[in-house]
Amino acid sequence: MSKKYDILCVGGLIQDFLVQPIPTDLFDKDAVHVDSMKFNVGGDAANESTIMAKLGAKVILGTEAGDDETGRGLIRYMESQGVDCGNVVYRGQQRTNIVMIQEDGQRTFVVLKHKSRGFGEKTDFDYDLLDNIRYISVGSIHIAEALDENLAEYFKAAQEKGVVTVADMVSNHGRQSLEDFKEIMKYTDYLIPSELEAQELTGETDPEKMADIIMSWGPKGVIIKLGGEGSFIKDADGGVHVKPFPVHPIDTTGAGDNFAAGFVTALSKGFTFRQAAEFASAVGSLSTEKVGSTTAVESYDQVITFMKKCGRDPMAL
Amino acid sequence: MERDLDVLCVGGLVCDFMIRPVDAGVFTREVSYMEAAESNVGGDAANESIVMGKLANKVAISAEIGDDGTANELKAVFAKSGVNTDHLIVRKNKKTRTNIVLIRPDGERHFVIFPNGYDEFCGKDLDYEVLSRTKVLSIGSIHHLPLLDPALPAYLKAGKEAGCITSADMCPNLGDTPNEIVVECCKYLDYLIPSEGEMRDLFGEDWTPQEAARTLRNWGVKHVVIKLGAEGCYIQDDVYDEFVPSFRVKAIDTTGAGDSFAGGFLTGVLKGWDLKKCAIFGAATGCIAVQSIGANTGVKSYEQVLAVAKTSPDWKE
Repeated sequence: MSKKYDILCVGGLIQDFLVQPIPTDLFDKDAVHVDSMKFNVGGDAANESTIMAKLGAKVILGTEAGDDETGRGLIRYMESQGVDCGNVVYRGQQRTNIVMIQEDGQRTFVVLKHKSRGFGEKTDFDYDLLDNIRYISVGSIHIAEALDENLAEYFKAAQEKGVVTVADMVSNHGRQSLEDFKEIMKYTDYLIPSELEAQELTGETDPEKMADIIMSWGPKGVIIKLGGEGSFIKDADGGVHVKPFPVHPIDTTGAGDNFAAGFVTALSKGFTFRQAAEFASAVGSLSTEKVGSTTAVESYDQVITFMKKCGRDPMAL
Repeated sequence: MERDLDVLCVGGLVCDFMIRPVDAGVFTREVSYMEAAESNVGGDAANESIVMGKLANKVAISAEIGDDGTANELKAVFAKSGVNTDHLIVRKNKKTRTNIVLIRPDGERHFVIFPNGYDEFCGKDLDYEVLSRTKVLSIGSIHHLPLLDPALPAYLKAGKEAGCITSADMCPNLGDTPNEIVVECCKYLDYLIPSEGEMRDLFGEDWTPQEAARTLRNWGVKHVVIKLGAEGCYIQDDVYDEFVPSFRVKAIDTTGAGDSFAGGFLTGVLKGWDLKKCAIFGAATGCIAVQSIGANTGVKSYEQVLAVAKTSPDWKE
């Protein structure tokens, strides 16, 4: 049965202004001239959906954009990148970050205190859309209050319709109770935590033990990201370490979003869990080779060619 | 004379993206939070045209702008002030030139200014066709747009030939335009409204207002107004040779004061007032402008400025 979209990607959309070089005596002067100022569209769902589109998936974005010209401008940009913006909600002021990059490369973030609870209010979730998607990818549990409260119910309905549910996450910082998190896990097919997040959740230090505990809560597969060490993956067929790919990293911003996008896109193309994790690893590694979150990865063929060059054709697994 | 427009303002337009509160503490943290972030429009032609719009003139702005969300936001601001935006020069696929303004908790500001993808406003962008449809041609500032400077003498000449009243403000010659171009502009200027800084640059440290004005008139300018900041201004033409005092007030923010003065001054020119009456009205406009934060926020209406102008002992109905 052909569904309109492969993936619904849900999460944040942020406007980043990157400015450099910023002198540290800026506040002693009236004005400083800098060499460059770039506007980037960022945010987990914005990054993920952009990469999914580049990898050939039919993706629809669910996010909150500012109810202002800036927000509308960002959505027009996302559409130009091949992302359908049918599940966008316009609300409040567009979330904006200023990233001041000093002469030595250090980054200082000035973030707009967001007054909103983010995408994820009960009315933001489109239950009719569940008939038209095959996968949901949640950019991050633990960023948007609204999402944290209402995701379990949406994931449950999704699974009932045969939609595969995938979630990335960030650290909880004590905001959501473990009980509430486990409620989401009941209806999550795959979770992609970092080693630190998995440790915080489970109290374990061994990745396999972390994965076992998380799987006991519901997920049928867990990928624990180990940064430069690659990842540890486990499902019903067992656990295995996936090596990182050899690259020369220049900028690791957004690597996690690229990894998640690669994983879900591969699943949507019929890859097995193991194959998809390998593909995700290649996408995540490749993404670090250029400055910016969505600049390095260009296409599905580019990733496959790279994987074969490294002697790691996913189809050979 | 029956013309569509009272004035065409040609020159600079920039978005000031203002964030607060920020201070040097940002460099001690990885992430800091700002309470508010908003876009305001600035730039000599933008400020002048908004003030003139508020003073009930039929005004159009000719300046570069991008075609992003910011551009739409700024066009809405112009529309609210009655400024015609049909003559904006839209740079396709470019972001609108933006400065970041960091506002400290005590209200002091620090500007982060950077080069953008355009800022190429030059001779071939100038609209000659509109000249026969406007009463006044106002150049935001000789020297603000270095690429435009060489084209100004021919444009002003065409303005005169089309029957316009011509006016120009000035700003510091950071682009090193040869003085010959200023001299050439003077041949075709009814009004020149520089500040003391530009006079010092042209005539040296020993300049005096009387001699400077005489030289400018010898070069061709019919009416000279030299702005002297809080001290007021000096005016010279065939009838007047005197200082016009400012309206003494406590300045809260002098950003855009000169542009506001010019906007009020030209409003008087359009009403056929003599040089002194125009200068008093300009001073009243500037006085209101400096009592408000922002480059073009103080002036609300013609009646508001008139009420201040009337308090001058030299005001004649």
